[in-house]
Amino acid sequence: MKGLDIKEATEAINASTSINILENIKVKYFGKKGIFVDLLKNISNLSLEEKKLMGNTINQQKDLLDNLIKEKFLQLKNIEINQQIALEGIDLSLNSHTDHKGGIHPITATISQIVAIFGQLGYKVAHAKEIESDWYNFTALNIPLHHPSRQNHDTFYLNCTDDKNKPKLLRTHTSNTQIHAMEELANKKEFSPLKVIAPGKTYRSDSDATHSPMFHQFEVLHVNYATEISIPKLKALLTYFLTTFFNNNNIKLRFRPSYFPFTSPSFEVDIQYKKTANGLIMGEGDDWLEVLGCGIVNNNVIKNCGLDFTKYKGFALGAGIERLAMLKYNFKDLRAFFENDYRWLTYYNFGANYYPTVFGGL
Amino acid sequence: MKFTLNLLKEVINLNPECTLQDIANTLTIAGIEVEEVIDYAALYKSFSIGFIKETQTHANSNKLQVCTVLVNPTGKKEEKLQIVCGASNAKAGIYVVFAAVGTYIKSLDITLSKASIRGVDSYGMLLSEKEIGLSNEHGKIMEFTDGKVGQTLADKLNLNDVIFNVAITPNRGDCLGVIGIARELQAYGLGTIKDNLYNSAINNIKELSIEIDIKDNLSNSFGLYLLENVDNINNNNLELLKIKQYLTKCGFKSISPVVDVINYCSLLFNQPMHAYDYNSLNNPNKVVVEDIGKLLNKNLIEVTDLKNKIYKFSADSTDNNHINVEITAPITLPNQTITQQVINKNIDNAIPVVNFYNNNNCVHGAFAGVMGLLNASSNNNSSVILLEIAHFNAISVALSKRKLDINSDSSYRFEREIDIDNLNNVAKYVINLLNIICGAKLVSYKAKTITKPQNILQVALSEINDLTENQFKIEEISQLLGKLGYTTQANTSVMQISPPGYRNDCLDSGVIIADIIRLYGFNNLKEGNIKVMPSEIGKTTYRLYDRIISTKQTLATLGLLETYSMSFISKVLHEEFALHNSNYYVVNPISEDLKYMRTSLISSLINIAKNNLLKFNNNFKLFEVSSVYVEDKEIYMASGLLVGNKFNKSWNTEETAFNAWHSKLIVNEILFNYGFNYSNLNVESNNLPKYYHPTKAGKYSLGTNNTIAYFGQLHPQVLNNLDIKTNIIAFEIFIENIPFNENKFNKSPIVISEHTPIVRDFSIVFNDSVKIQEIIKVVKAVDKKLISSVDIVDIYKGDKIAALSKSISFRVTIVSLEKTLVDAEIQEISNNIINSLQQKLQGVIRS
Repeated sequence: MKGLDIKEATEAINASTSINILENIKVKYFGKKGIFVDLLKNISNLSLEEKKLMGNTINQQKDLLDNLIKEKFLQLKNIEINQQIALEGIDLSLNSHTDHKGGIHPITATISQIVAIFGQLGYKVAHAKEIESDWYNFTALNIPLHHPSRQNHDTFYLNCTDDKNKPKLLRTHTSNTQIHAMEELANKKEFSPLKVIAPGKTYRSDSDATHSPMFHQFEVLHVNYATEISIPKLKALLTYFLTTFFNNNNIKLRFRPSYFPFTSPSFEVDIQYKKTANGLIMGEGDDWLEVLGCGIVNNNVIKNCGLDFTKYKGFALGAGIERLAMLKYNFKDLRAFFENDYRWLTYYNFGANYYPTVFGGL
Repeated sequence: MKFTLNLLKEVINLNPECTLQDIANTLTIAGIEVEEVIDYAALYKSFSIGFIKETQTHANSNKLQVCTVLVNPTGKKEEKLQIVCGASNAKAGIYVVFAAVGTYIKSLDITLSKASIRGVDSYGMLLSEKEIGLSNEHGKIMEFTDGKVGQTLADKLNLNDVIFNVAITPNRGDCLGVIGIARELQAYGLGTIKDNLYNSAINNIKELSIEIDIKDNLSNSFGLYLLENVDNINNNNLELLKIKQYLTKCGFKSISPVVDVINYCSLLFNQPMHAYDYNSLNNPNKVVVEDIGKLLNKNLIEVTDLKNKIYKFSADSTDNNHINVEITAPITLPNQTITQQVINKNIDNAIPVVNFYNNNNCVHGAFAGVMGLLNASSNNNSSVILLEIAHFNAISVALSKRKLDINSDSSYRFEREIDIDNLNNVAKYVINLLNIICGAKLVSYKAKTITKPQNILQVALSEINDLTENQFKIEEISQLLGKLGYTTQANTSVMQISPPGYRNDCLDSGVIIADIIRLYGFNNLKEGNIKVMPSEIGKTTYRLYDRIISTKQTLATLGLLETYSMSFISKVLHEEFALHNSNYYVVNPISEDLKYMRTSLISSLINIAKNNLLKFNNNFKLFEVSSVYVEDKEIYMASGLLVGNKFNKSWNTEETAFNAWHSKLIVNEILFNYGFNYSNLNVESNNLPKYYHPTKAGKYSLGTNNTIAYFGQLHPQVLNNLDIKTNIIAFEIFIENIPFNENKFNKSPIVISEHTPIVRDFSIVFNDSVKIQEIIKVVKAVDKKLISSVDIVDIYKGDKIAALSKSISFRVTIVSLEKTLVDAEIQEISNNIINSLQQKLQGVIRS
């Protein structure tokens, strides 16, 4: 074919050493003034028969060259990429700068765990004030002014008074939530069972490795028709709580008779443990650790809240949140919870998206 | 409360097989917490007495001595050993404490072996009190002037006893006496209380000629016993020595024979008593228990108690129900100097006192049930004593001791109630002992008692069985309670239960059920069912609780660490970081640093920042979500600090300090998380709290007086005042002030454009005072439908444009939901943007 030497073209394409050269070859054959344009122009003078024949031939040649060029182009492009890869290598043994990492404090994490456990059983979160009156912190809870157990409370008093002209105080326990919740219940038109879980801050004038002037407690209260409340149910609730909280089916509980003015009978609950170098193992060993206090709500307290104690009873329990966290996670010093040393926080925090669930395990 | 095994055996015959562990376990399940059991005989069994026969100075050390010691640790054969000792008091002729080779020394955590000390062999060790574990004395070895070689140390020190340290709950005053402990052990079958405890008798004694007058039910039983021929000088009576040992082991100080006997009996029977020096009472013919306030008219009463505290009582001229008292207490400082602490109080006038009258002349004898007064109480020279054995009203004592700031053993017992039925028995016991030890002879006595009505509780069997989910029978309950001294009667299903007189805590059926359960065994109760009723299913938390938790998570995700701080702070921090005007403080703080109820969380966070900076933690982000205290309201805040650098200089970043925009970003993220659209909020800079930088901080608010957030740099002066040299950025969010968007995820259907967005860039010069937010608003207002975003690309100030102006480059994205826009339409929007900025903000296209 005049003007087109396929052999020459094929050789040129194969011999191309760069995309640039290949581009030039492409222009030479396929450009606006390229050889194929010329060839196609020239066949316009031929007869229809010849035109068809010639046209087919040219198109075949055209496809052939086009494919060759594309193939070569890919080949050259790969070579180019490989050359670039060889040049642009980086040292990934280096680390990028890091941004600050945040996290949830162990106290928040522990409260969330406790709320998750009781929430599963139909308990609702309640909150009561920290700045409290004598009535809600003491008197309504069957702790009158002269009561010896007031001395164990080491109360902080504030420079303001309540409506009975008594100094306001910082609540010494979360048990004040019991009174608020039961008063609210008594004011309802109709009785309905009450189940609350109330975590929060509490205050006592005491400071050492196991005492902090501010700490956290949680209170659990269940008030119901008298026949619905029993000590075996309280026992079952505590077994469920401690087993779930410590994520340990071997947990063994010991109920000791004790005394709280607002419950009767009252019990303290111990769990069995063994001390090891890596912390405590629950459910084994010969020692017992006190973990919480509980009991059947004292009739006087039910009465003080305006409920009829011949019809309704309740059980309540309460415990220190930091104490439970210390037992579960082997923290040594209570004070460190509130010192907020950056290194401590960085080490002990629960990460940014900690939101525990009972089904996910605690 | 402390008691010893031997003391216990004074009142109870324990079963021969009863072990220390049995006692401890039984007390625990009885509700008496056993804090400590110290078996001295076991503790010191490997230490015995040796005798230094001679000493020689060590050839290679002038501090060491080579002692020849006579020892007999096994009690089989005395031998002579060479022991090298470094104590300065090691000398020939003294008895010392010896530990043989092979002995484990707990205080040093070593097992002794034969040693060569600087070339001289040493076979054992002579011990200091610290090494033995008796005290912290370590300078010298323990030495005695007399002794017996081979005697055990426990024997030598009379330590062959076991001390129990137990915690008695406030309801069980009866267990503050050893007899109460014994009763519990008897109930559980560990022994039998001796039946001849009070065998001495008071017979044919004439009546004391002192009239007893009790006012206001301050006492239900009051007895006075006149004893003559008292020898109150310490003697070597064996019974007295034994009593003193008991008292020391149980934490009492030995005072005088009479007082020691009284305290001993009080320890046994929980009955406080007081001995008056009869000759100091001015031949009384009447004793009155009365309130001191009723004696104060115009006169002042001054008394001194046994601890040398002086009380001056005077009437309150304005209030009949109150009196004033000035208490002067001597305080011994660590350096032995004595100073005085004076406290003035205005109290209600209920301070019961025991007054002795000779017609109208009055001698103040004691603060009733709390503490005796110095001038009326027995002393070493008292040969005639008047012994008071009484009951005092528990509430009166509890209130009185608090008002007087006295903590005495006596008041501790009275305020927990005593066994009023046992007063006569205790009298017999103590008088007999005083006779044996001090030669005291009872001359006359008088006792006035108001008979206590019997306490009977009606308890339905069904109540017991419902609460325990058990099927107790009446006989079973009677039998269980009988062990604890209850008497029961039942004709029907309601039981009449009468607790023993010493159980003053049996006020309701709960106490009785507790006693039944503990004797039956808590573990024998079944495990109940946990039920969740359909009505209880649903949300556990309330919306503010959820917001608190989600705020914490968002802040943590943004790289901030959660902190917890005390709710009270120092006055300085309170004033410097006052977010609200509230001055509530703790009147009895643990320290001045923990006094004022904080009104901002920044006040706590700044302290954390400062402490961390001092520990070379230089760059960090912290937050707290908690309440602040405004009057007695608790307001939840979410606050944080960005301290130092966001990035330190590294191979791929420049050092970047935190700035106010970083804090604004955090606030925006929180608002976004609440489902609150913050894009229309104005940043205001007026009325910021004074601890913020006046020109590098701002706030968001929703209407007047409804601030929702502050953010920005802290005031350099404030940081300077706190001696903080690091850049600190803060934010505070009033999380309760932001509307709750309950339907955050409940949205109208989204319409997404399928057409190509067009982007146009502009550079416009504005006066410097024009806020960027204004510019964006004006641009967006040009076509709210088509303009989808306006992004600031560059801000230029400098000599290429006029002074006090800035060039803002921004990129506008334009997209239609219906079609691809043509050039003419884009051009029109562009022109409108330029015109609008020119008209509204005097913006000029940068040439």
